[in-house]
Amino acid sequence: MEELFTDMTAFSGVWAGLSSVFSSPELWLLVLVGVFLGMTVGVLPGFGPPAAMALLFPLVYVLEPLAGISLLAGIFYGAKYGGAVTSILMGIPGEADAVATLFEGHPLARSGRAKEALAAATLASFIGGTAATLGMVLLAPVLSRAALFFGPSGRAAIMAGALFLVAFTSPGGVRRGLAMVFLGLALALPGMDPVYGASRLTFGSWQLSGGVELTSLLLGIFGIGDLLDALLGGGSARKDTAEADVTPVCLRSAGMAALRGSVLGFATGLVPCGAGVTASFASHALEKRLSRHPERFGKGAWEGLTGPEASNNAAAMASFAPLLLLGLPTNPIMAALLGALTIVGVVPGPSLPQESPAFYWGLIFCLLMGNLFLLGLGLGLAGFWARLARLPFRLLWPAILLFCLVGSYVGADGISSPVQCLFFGALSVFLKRQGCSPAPLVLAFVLGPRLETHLLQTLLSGW
Amino acid sequence: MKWRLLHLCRNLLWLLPYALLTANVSPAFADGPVRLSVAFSPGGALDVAARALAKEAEKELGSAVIVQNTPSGGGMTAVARLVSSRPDGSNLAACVTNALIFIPHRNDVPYHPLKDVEPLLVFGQASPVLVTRPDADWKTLDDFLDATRKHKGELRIGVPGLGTPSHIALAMMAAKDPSLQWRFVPFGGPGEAETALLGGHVDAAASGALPRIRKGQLHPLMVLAGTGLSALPDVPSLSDKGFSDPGRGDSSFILLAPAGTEEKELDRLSRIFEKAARSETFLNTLTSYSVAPVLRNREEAKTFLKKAWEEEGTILRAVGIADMPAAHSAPKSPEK
Repeated sequence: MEELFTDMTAFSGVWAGLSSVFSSPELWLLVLVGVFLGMTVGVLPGFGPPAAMALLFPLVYVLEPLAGISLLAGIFYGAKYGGAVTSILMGIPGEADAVATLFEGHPLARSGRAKEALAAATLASFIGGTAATLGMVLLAPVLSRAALFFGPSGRAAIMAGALFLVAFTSPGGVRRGLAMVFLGLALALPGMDPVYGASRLTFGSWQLSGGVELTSLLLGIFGIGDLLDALLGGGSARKDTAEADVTPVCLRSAGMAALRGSVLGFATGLVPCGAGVTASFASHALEKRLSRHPERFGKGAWEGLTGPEASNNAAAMASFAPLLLLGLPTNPIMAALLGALTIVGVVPGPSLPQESPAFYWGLIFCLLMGNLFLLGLGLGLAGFWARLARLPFRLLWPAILLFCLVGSYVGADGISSPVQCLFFGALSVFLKRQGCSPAPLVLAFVLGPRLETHLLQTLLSGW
Repeated sequence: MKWRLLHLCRNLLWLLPYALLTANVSPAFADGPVRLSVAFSPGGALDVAARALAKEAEKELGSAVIVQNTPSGGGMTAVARLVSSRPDGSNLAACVTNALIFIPHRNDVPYHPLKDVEPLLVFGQASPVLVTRPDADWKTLDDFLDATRKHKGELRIGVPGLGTPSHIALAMMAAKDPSLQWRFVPFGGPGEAETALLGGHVDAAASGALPRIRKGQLHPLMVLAGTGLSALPDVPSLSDKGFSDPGRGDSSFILLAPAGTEEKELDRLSRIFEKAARSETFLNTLTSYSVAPVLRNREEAKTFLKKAWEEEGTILRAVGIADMPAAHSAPKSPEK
């Protein structure tokens, strides 16, 4: 066992990765495009990162594996940044993990320090993302060996555990969370049995023999669902916070907060549960605990902004480790990425760094590169994002609707996919009105067949 | 002025995603990209060979070949999806012939192997190798068989799916000698089975990754085919050890189109893919796996499939494997 992996020399693949990144300039362009699109879509109203991801998901069908996944990853953290921008400027978090950013960022913006707050958040994101990526590089051999330890039984247990954790931590309460998990598992049932290949629940229709399409589900729930929700006038209410005097930014303490947040985020990111949210709230709480002026928190404390922001970005980067090494997504976006990995023909698993070093290390370098682009675009175009965030929604929704339908048609051939897509859009609106968060549903949908396969493998190997 | 600039920016920004989407998708639509679904998960011989073939064929086809993996069901999922897709030459599948001639004999499948698919090309023949970890207690096949008898059906073998050639070969060994009993653990492809082996979650696995065997990461016990491999001269084959040689054509890699595709299109695709299969790049890829460069064109593949299908039924009934339960080699336990 030991000698098998000591010769693995964790970093032998680094050159392969570096060369695959530097040999293709179009990869740089794609990462830049990904980050830019992600930021744009993340900033635009009526849209969260999962929606952005879902919209551009069909692109993986036409790109090389590394390019496609890097593009999607770029969209992912670009959109995360977009969420921070809307949180700070307008008090509308795109996703749950931007809520902690809102606590401090929005008061700062209201007291006239929007630009500094944006810059601080950008820098903190950069620190968090870069630290976590470097952590992944350094810990690669350990992580990979740890991942090998999980066989079918271990993976089945972790996946079941992850689903429960998500159900318990999702907004709307445990009961609703569990219901969503089971709905997701049920949606994954029609089609072919993943082990024996028998068709089930297809009701004799060939449209269902392929099961429910991931692209239609994603586009339906996050694209059309969010759109309908916004059109029907849901949306989050803007919070009114009392304006207060804000201390000028102290670079040292804010920087330290970002570093602490990075470590915290990296650690939580490795654990398979709603990493970003946990990390950012934990970091906010930690900073408040450590601060000499806890009374400033909630009214615009810089540490409370940089800590969570670094933390949720670090968690986002770190959650690539369970995704790539165990095939375990920790949030809906990662679930979409897992689907994309399958489409481009990359098997996530402990041996991924050895089997396709060019892909594994290439992706890590793309993540680093994307972080740099994010810093540049975030600082350089801060004013542009701020204006973009105020774009009226009525200009946007026709384009979004079109994208979703075209995207689902391209993703899987046939007219049944756009129909499925519309159906899931309606379902998503209904669920949201009932106070259910669709995230556990999507995660359960993606994990369902895998959980089933691993469970069966466990049972067949007589454990 | 400032407002106008801003307005322009917004409009341009709007156009960007559109432009990107259309730029990427429309050429693919115009030439009709070919979707090639591979019956196993990535990382195994079939996947690697099919991808190499697709890359070569792309040059001639003039359109993209998008390779997608549809593992599960030992290959039947890929075939079943192919059969239900549009027969316009844009949907192809690469699978191992077991999905056509073995599985339909035992499972209820939504296709007829001779009527619903059009074989285009046979592009290789695999001889899976039973491998184990180098630090395992058994170094030779005899040690392994002794251990199997001692542990009374406790040993676990990872196979790339139920009803795949390696699973059948092992199950036939078990059917011949009742003292041999294993637990077969199905994975989506040989790559996943190898990973499970390295992690110690199965005791042996069927794989064909020669580089890993040469590097000493995997220890070969037996070639699961009638004849040995020239790349592994010291490893015994099934006939060397007196086991029945499956010898049928069910471990060939085959390229399929749905029945009903135009004759002209079938000929064109078959010609292009045949040329790709003769290319040096493709043949070099095969040398990394225990896959023999067997090549059969459309006509030959068709007769081959027909003959193999008929022989398979006879052989399976003779060996008593036709109603063998899927996962356990013990003949008594009922299925499901």
